[in-house]
Amino acid sequence: MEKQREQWGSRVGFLLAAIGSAVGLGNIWRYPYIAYENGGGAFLIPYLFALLTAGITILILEYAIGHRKQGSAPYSFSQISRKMEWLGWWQTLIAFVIMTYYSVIVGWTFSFAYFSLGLKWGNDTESFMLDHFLKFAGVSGDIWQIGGINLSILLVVTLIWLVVFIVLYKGIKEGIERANKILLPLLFIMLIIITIRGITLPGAEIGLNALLTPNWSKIADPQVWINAYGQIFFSLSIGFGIMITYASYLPKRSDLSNNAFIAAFANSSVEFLAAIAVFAALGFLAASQGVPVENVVQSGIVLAFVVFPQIINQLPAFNDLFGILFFGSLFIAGFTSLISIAEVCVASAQDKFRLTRKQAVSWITGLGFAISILYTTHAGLGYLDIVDRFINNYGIVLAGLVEIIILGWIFKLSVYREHVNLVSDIRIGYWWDVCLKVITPIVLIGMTGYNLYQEFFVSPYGDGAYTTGQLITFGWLLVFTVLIISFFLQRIRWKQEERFEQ
Amino acid sequence: MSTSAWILFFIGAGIIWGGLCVSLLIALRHSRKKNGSTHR
Repeated sequence: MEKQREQWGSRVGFLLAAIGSAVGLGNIWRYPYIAYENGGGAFLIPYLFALLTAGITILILEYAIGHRKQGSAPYSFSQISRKMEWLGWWQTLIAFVIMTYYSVIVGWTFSFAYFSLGLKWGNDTESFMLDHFLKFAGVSGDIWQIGGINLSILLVVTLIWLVVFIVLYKGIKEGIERANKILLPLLFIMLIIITIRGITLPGAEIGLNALLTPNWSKIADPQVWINAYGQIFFSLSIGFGIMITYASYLPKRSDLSNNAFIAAFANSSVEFLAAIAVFAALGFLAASQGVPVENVVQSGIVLAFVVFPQIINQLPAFNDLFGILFFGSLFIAGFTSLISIAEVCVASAQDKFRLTRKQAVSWITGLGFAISILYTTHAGLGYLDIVDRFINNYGIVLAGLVEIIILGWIFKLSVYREHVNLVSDIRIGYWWDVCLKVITPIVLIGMTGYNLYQEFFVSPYGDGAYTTGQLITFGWLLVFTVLIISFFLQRIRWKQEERFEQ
Repeated sequence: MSTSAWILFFIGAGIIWGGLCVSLLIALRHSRKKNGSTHR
């Protein structure tokens, strides 16, 4: 007989956890650059269109799947059709791969918060990051040479995994919900302080002008629309089982559509706020160096760990404090997302292999930690670069695409629409079906086509950064292995009667 | 900042932050109406 599945303690708890999952590193270091590169203020039009037609619609669908089936991604899809279980495993394995390197980046942010004390990175921040901290130069760019383990990074990553273990071990209400209830408000406060400090810096208006001045000609560029959908897709934590898992812990009478609106708008609010803070700070850096903003604009790892330390060095006062606030907010954003990614794997393992929560958490965090050691090596940055690109472009996007095509065209979407309308305050209409069946698949197919074109005809990593053998091993082989293991896991029998055993 | 940048800032902030406020208000109104169930 099935026991009662664990549930969130309150609606606020669920919402904070869902927002904590969606708000990640990408909100702070990806969105500002994407907005700037794709039309500045004009980017808001494709961005908002993508938010309404893809972001919120897929979020509602995933909430509906998890809430209706009350199980992890593999269990939920197996309940829709026995032949669809592999899709849940595909999403779970994608989450597993992501958490192994995401934990290492979260570790870097923790280390850099510490380095902020006394500005330990010195004046040459690029060489500090690559040579001193990551020791990437030691492998001369050849990632076949693993190089050895960075013990200081390994130590921090061990600490991160230990905290993830404790949070997950304590369960949904006492662990994940409580952690998010503390960390999310703290993140908002820190981001507001950073933004206020950023916009009051000399030169901030130069950066904000660069971010918000519209380039209307970009609106006609299909690439801009693909980038807008990509940003929404990667930012909202959709397509790899997180929202299905989180919604499965909701009580039966839970509003789904309004929760999706709140989570999506909160995620975008943080992105928008972060973009203002980042570009105000970039404007300050450009002004203090006497160069145009385009000379200092970066995204991702370079923005966070090379450019921001430069900005912090240049600040007139409270440099250490600003550094701790910036890297602290990156840490919180990353950590709350990491918990949600790991929970996808824990829930799947618990459901399928009738493990207790404690056993599942021990297995998943233990395995995750063991594999994450690979990214703490001197060549780790190279592995991370390839794995991140492939698992995002040919993992998350394809899994999300397959999910909406199968549910939209083979099964009845109206079942989920009716389920949502039965329990929600905001009723969703036929527009939801149109968005999921037509608009979003077209854009995701376009996005995949563009990514494949880039992969084969334009080197997205810079010429000669990686050999074909390295891209096949850490990219294509990984993507196909994940898919093959998913089908293999589908063949293992369920023991449903003990699915919720504690 | 230029005028167009200001206008787009207010439009973006209005829709995104406004959308968040409206959805939060709906949730608050319904939770008061359905007092007794914290999840709706």
